[in-house]
Amino acid sequence: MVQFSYFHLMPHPYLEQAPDWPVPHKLFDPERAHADYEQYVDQMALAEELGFDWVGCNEHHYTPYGLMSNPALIGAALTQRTRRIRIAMLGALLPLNNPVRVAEEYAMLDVMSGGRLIAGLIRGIPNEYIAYGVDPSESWERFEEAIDLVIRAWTEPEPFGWEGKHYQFRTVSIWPRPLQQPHPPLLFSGGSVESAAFAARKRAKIGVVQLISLEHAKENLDVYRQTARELGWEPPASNLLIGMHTHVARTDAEARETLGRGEDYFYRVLSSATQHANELVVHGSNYYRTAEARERRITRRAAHKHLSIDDRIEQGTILCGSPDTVVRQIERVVKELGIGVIQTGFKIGSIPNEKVVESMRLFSREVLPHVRDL
Amino acid sequence: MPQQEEGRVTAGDCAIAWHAAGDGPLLAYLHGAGGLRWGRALDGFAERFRVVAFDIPGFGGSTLGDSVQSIPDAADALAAAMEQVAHGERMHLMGTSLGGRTAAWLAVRHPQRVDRLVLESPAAFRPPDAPPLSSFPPDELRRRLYGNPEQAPPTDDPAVRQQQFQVMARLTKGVGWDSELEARLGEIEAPTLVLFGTQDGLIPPEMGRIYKERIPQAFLTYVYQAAHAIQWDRPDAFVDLVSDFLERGEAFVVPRAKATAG
Repeated sequence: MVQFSYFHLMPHPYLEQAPDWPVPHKLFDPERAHADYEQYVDQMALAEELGFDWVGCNEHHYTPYGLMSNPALIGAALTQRTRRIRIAMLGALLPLNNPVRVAEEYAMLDVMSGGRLIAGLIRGIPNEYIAYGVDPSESWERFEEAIDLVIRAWTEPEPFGWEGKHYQFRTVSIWPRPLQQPHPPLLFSGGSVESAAFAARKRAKIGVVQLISLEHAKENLDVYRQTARELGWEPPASNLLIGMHTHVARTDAEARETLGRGEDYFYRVLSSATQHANELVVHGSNYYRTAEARERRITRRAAHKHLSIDDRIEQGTILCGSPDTVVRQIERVVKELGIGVIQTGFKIGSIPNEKVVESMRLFSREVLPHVRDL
Repeated sequence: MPQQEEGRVTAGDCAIAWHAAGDGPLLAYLHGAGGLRWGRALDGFAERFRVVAFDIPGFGGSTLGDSVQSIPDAADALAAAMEQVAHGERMHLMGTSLGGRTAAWLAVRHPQRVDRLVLESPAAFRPPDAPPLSSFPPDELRRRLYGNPEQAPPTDDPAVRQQQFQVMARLTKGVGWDSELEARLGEIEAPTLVLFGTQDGLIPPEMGRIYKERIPQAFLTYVYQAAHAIQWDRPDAFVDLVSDFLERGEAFVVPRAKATAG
């Protein structure tokens, strides 16, 4: 059984040209964003009605491509607008935040939602470290320690102190604690082979969300499965998630036209400033633990830059086309990667909200019934 | 390293050896089953306290009198030695592993001797399914003790270790779960700090909960990236944390004002 997540970045698609980094907030239009937040939350609530299994939020800073600087706020809104769907936080950027605060917010979301939280704990893309003034070279160490602390805060029935390398708390005793026992399912990013192995060691679910190619995703997912096996457990398909831009239209050509334009705006205008900041961090710190990991990332980024929408369709890294085409694309990715969760992103860049909703409805009516039981 | 002094006192039918360094409030220390290892952490304490490390009967320079057949018996002998060395004053008391179990018994039976109590990876409650220490080959035992082997003291002479295991077996009667102590932890009057390393390979760190639940004024702290031998894996953090507790008691939960950069 394949599950589908409806992920939203919550973009602010009103800039005409690519801004410099950091993007000055004089370019932010609060009135339009007010209307957008409402529509975006409506779209996320609609996902439940349309049969999606998860709805996903994440955290980004200083950027027009995503307006969730604190995803827990949207998560809280969703707990009040939905009844059944899993709320996936993908997630809090753990090394940038107070881990106790993250443990508390996630526990609140889990209790408020009646135990529907998927707890993504994410290291964050490099540029976020500038925004919160945290040394990117410490990102891995902080991440690993903070995960242990968050889990301890959820599961330790007695008040406790934490004497860490990066975090020290003389006493921790969070209220509320999570509803799911022993704690909500964890999800980590599997963007590199290092992080994939780490996710397996921690028995977390894994998400690969910036697909350069299916082979790249497969390499990471294989490392995840292999590491898990070495540790004596077999991850179910429902532990493996990949993220894909998605657009369904009546015809392939129409879908390609709409998503192509949306992606072009997303890459060329909305996220170009962030790319610049990412480069600053990657080249100016040890965000990556090894030179090899850094090189791999630089090569992949460069490769991604030159891909057209036709390349991406060909590579199978996006879902784009008529319902029949998208069913075949889903069949391919499930078969090649053995994953159990597909995270769809419908609101890409400048795609108008009406088209987003139309595409969601078409997906629900004419795609979902054919791919549920793959 | 602060200058060490040594001596022996008589306690019942035992001779109890002590090793001391530093000036300041008195801090008695009881070692683990590997005997006294004076390292960076004890040096650190000796900069703020007068550290008096006692050899548990049957270990190091202390003799094992016939009257000492159990951990509570050993605790009685050590309490008598503390009284002599401290001239009747209370001392802070810190114990590691087997010494932690002994220190907890000492605080139960001789509350008037103990000011504040620190239990480092105390070994009073090992789950029944945990294999005995003596069953681990030396290398594995070392991995379970030390998260950071480069900072660990050298491995014991096997003959010495064998003898230590024998003394431990006599005192504990091979019982890893001390239910008598469990029933009496509530009698401990001293404010108590219990520490476990998050990577402890000998005792699940969650055992710390038992002390926290039952000792009336207890604080449980997990030390990250430390195994069973916290004071060898994270010596500086250990000394700072424990000293702050010994100096401030309950108020150690309140962050201290830091000197601000000019």
